[in-house]
Amino acid sequence: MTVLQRALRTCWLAACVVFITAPLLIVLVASVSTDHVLTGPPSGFTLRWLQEAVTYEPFRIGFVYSVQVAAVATAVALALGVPAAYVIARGGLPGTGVLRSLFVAPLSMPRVVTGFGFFVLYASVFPTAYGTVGGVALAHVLLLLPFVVALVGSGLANLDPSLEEAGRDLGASSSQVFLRVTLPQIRMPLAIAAVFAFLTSFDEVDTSVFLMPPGVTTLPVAIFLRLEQNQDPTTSAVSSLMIVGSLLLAGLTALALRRSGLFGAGGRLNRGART
Amino acid sequence: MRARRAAAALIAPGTAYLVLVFASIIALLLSYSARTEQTAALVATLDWGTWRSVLGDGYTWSVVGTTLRLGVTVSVLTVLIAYPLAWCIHTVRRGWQAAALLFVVFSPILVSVVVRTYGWAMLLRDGGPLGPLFEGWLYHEPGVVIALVHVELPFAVFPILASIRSVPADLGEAAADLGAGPLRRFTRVLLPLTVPGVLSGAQLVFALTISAFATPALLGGGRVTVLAQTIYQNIQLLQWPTAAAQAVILLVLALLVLSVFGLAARLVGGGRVTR
Repeated sequence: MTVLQRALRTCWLAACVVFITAPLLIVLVASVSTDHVLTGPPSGFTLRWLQEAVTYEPFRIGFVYSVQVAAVATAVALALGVPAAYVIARGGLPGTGVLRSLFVAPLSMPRVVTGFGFFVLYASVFPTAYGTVGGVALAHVLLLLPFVVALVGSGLANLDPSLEEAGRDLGASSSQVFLRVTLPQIRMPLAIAAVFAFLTSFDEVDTSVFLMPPGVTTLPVAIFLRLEQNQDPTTSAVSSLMIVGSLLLAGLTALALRRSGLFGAGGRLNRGART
Repeated sequence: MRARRAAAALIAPGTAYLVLVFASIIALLLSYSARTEQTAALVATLDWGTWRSVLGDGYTWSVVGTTLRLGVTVSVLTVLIAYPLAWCIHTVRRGWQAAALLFVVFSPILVSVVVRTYGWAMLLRDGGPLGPLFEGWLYHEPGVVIALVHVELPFAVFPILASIRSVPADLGEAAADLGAGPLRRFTRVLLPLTVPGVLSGAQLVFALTISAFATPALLGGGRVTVLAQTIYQNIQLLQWPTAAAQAVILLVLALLVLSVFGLAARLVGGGRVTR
């Protein structure tokens, strides 16, 4: 690579990094700056906006609501998606191709259409589900299933089926084989799928906005509704808490996985089995 | 036989959920759009009045036009930024640098779209850091475009990076040995081999852009109206049948876009050089 190429590459990478991080950085800076409207370098440091954000009632309610929805939606998506991914990966059923397309089909549906679809479903069939944790979570499951099936499926594809065979030959039942042989080997993709699903549900706006009355909403919808009216430092503060929270959760997961040696575990077992 | 029955039992709950949700949502969307009265009843008198007024209204077509124009602009710009970015990431040799770049490029996926959109509103507004440079962008189409490019960049980088990585390095070296300059190596070797990655990135970005809701709603300032917003607005106005018809149009549009790109990918894939 010539000097010129190297310089061009550095410039492009720097420009892209600035482009990607600028909108996040300005929110972080504005949330601890004394200025009401950030026009240049911040004139002072304050925690006032953060304090106001955590005591502002719609945001507090929204945070609890979002955590509940994300927890329920993630649990259901894993319960439905992991066995499905297992069956699809092992291909033990006729029509596996059709099943695989069915489980990624929700990706083709615009999220707004999903939201409106569940809205009319609840309006016509289950009026009590509108605006409840269960009702919103059930709609989120549709968005999360493709990710769960794809991530867990890719983990299963890297496994050596002969290990499961060995387990069966040694007299383990199929549920024992799954719990003691298969599951430990896909811990990493499983953890990634769970964290990704949780954050996707927690951040979701386009579907959720159709499923709850304006008074009591999840956190991102509360931010959306507030931004439709005006922008103020309190919104910056809650937004910066969401940025820090999401990145922290993702970073901690990566770190925990590395610590526990899970990054290599599946690979080592595989290699051991093959040699 | 027993194994097959066990597999069917494992995948049945997820399959039942998906089939039930898809079937009822699509049936209800069609049923709601084929009525004119504002009712949540499961069955109403069949009336094509809503479809006639939606399809006969110039406003619908101008909204569809805006939606598709945004889709084209955003996918072209995103690919133009993502391709060189993916190539730069690919050529970074030091492991920690590559890991840091990947983190910067992909971590924004974990931050809510509402928060990232808010960041752009702060950057572009009057008195904001980029306000003088991009005067008049906020609450107009260019502001929506730049924020959507930011939101969707990772979805284009990922498939393009994967396809660049799949090109064997010795192909480029062979071309260089035969006397091809950098430009020729790019247009005759790298680009043709990575077209499938570009297509799948553009497909993803296009589909996500025409379904985007929060970004145009917050940055469009009422001047930029896309289909997703009109669905939401018509629910607020209690025009459920109109919203249902627009949801059907958006769904059809999304499926059309996906299949056109799918077809293009198949055509290109058919002509690919195989080694």
